[in-house]
Amino acid sequence: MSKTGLDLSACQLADAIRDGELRAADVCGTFLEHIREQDPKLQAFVTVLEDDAMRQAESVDRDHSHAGAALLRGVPIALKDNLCTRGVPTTCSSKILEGFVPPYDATVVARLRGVTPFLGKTNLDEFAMGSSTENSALFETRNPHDPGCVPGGSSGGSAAAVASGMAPLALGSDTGGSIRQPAAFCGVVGLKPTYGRVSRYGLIAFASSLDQIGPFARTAEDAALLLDAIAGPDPRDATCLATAAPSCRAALSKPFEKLRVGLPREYFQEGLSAPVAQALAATRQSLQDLGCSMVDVSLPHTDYAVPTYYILAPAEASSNLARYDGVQYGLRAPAGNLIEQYLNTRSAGFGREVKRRIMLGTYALSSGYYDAYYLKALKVRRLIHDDFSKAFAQADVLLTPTTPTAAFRFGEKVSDPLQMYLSDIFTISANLAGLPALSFPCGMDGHLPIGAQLIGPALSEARLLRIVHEYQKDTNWHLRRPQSILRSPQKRKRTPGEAG
Amino acid sequence: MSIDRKTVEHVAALARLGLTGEEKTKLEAELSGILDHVAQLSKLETGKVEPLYHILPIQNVFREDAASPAGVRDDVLKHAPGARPPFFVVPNVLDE
Amino acid sequence: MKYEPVIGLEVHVQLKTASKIFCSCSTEFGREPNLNTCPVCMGLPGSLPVLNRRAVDLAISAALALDCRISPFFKFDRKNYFYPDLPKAYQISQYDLPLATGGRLEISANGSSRNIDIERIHMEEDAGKLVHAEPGHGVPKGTSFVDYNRAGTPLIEIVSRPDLRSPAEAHAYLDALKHILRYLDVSDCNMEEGSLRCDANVSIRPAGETALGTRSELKNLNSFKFVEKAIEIEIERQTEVLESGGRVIQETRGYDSAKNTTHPQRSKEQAHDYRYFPEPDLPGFTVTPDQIERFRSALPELPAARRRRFQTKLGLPAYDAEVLTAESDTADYFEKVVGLGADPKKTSNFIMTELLFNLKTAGLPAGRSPVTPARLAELLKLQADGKISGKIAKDIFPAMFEKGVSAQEVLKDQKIELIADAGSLDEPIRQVISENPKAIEDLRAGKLTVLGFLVGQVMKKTRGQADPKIVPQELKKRLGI
Repeated sequence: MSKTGLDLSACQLADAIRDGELRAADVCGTFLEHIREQDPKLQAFVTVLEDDAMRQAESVDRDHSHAGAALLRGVPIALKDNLCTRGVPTTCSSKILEGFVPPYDATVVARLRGVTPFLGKTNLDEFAMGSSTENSALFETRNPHDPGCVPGGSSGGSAAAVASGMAPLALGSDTGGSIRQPAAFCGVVGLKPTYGRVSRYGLIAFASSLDQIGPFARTAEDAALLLDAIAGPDPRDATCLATAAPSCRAALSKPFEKLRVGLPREYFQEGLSAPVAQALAATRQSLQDLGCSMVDVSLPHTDYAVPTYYILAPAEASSNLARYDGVQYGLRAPAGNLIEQYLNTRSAGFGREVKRRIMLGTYALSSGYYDAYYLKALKVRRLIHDDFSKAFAQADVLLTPTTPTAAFRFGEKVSDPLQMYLSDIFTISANLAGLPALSFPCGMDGHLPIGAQLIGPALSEARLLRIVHEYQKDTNWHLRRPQSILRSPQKRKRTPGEAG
Repeated sequence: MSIDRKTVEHVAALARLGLTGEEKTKLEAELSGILDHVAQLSKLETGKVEPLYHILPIQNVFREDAASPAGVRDDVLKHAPGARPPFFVVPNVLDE
Repeated sequence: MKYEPVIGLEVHVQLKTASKIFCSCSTEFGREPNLNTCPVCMGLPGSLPVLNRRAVDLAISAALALDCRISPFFKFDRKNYFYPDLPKAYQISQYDLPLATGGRLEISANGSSRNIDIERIHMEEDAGKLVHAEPGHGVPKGTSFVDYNRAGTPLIEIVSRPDLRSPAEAHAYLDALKHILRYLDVSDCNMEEGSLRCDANVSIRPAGETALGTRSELKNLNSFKFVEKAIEIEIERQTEVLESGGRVIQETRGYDSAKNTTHPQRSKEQAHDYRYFPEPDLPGFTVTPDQIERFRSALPELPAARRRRFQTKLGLPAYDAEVLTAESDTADYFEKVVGLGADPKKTSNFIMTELLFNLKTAGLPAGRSPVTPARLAELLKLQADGKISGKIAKDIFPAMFEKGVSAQEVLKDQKIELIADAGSLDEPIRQVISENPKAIEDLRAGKLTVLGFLVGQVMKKTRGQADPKIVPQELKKRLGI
């Protein structure tokens, strides 16, 4: 076994560390070294926690009393920078959180602390609002498969870190596709759990009724391991389900059931690129080869998902982001009085997309418009939810493309917010319905990965992971490594005037 | 649905966003475009549909009434943009 | 023209919980600034609220005691506005589905009682406190200090219908509300510590008119007395405005107690639009009819019912019943003493004159009286049995109260002998007769005025222990007159 461990899966690393074949500190050191080499080109990390990570890894090596207690012991991880980490700046890739150092750990972070050394905090679209990580106020993250392309977003940093091998595992958050879309663009597995499966305590809120934390990994098995480590009840989050989450990893070793796979016809229409359509057809064939049957289903309100989302999410965001007013933490712009302090701080601290969504959400909630927009969207949300209930009477899971196309180029959509929003068309519905959904690599469009999405009924994460685990035994799309990352030496810094 | 300048200014005031003239002009167009897209929701008949307030089938989530200190005050004050421990400090409200 | 005032009150009451409504911080009053804070009540990014069960229990009890209908389903909403005392820039409150609706409160003012309708009761979190700093010591002019200790304290807001017709009725409403809530132990209702706060909506209309006039909302009302005075002065102001041909405008007005005037308050908001929407961080809440019944049966007897019972079952005058039921502690104390066999009226008299005075001086509730109900019952029994006089009973009470000892101990301590029976007066009477031959002669001669003098002499010999009602009878008996 190589001393680096870079080529091993998280499960293999965990086994090797547990068996004493590898030291956690060596593994951690190797990943940190890889970050030092690769990250200047990719810019996936906002903060690299070199010393912290090494200290945590060394303590794993010293303390064997917990051996076996946590399956991921010693496997390093990258955290999206909207997860609060005690004592470490947490930026949401926004200027408005400048100087903010959380005095507490998010619940998921607390569950991993002492188990998985934290390599660092990863870049995102500011406050997780975006689909390309171009909205980061700090810098753009590049797609490891093509530095001219976006890594997707908003969890672009986490996706790029795992895809480039800088981290074996990462956490992201998904409000309308922010885990699955970058997972698809970067060629990794990304899972958005059922709403309420994972505690949101300490996840800096974008849209509270849609946000959910989930894993990035290269294999379904690794994702299962990470989900098991973070899922489950949390008394600090009233929207976190009180029932203990069953082990997903244990489910992977059970015999593969022959499932009914539903193909929602609204997801296979115009707008889908030919390579994506072809990759999905091949995926469908692979699943049939595994014994699954295919069923045509319909989700008739699919077209309404994007407009519903773009009322509900900005409305919640406008309220969630009102607290950034320069009073207790973060940026405070100079001002002569309080009103000016509010206006100046929020004007200087928020980027263009965040302002746009705050405006949209404030408008939708404002007097005279609530019924026409917000209340209407809540009703349509129920219709979308009910569509899925009907579909799951006919099918055990649904198979769809994750995105209509492979990764797009920098600047291609950033000037037209509506076009950017429409790139989330296949991922948004699962958030509105609160359902688990997973993206996995299923093909290539040239040198760019293509992702397929599985959506399941509430709490069916183990089923989704079981399917992809079986699929990954017979295919090797998840083993494709980016080839281009060694060629793009210059940093791409944000220039003033560029959309933010 | 088109959004005029006055509406942009009113909404920005509610949201406490200081916007430049150029930003306002852009937002007029962008918000109008997004709201045009959103307008398709009005095509749906939802008279009999109950709004979905919470996606989860759960209710009555409580914590018990027990007090315990968090001990984070000094840490938060240390990183605050305006503080005179043990207080946070803000400029006075306009005209008061 | 004659005008009729129309008054509605919005009362915020702090619920008596150990911890805040959505987090585990203590609600203790008077702590060092910002000490009772955590990521949740400071609104730190990522923090989430979880509802305090006891706050709901207390709120439901209060609502039931005010005859409200408890909503089978209630939820929380966000009220969005910017102010430095509001850490999240929204307040978690209740908008369209509050905890309870439609109740009533019996008030008594000007000797008659009537019901005031209550519109709704909802739960919400309190804001923090802004302290306008004195410039100097490096504090620039126009600076405010912020203390979030109070942020997240559980409140209920009790909104009355505009049913009150006079400042005195408003005062009576607050008195009645305070009685009930303190009875239930739902709140301390202490205006100085801010555990009860009141805003008043005041309008006037020509007498006989049914439509409502334009109202002003009065704030900064720091005592029940000021509520009454502010409403009074506001009615006068509005009357003057109308009579001089003006128009009342809808606005918020502050009360200045020093000048006894109301003045327009500058709005906190640039624009008023709270953009209420359902709080996504808190799932909804249900209350079943069974649960409501359990809460209802657990309610203590409320002041009005107890007052009636004290009058009808125990034969107390209305005044006594009113005084004794003003605090549940006092009424409980009274009932314990009577339960030990004491006469209700005598007990009531003693409590109202002696006990309440001593308690007030010591700043104690009846529940913590150093003279326990059992000791007061014992004292009253000594008096009822004729073993001590009523005067002695009153005289030794302060010592019992101060030292926390029984009547017997004080008597022993002060060397006061019990009056065993009339026979024990034999010796002092014999002495007084032999020492005052002139007075005895006068008495025999029919000069009854000296009787008082002789009784006084006997009392002196017994050091006040003899019953002044028995002494004259015994004297006359001995002298054969």
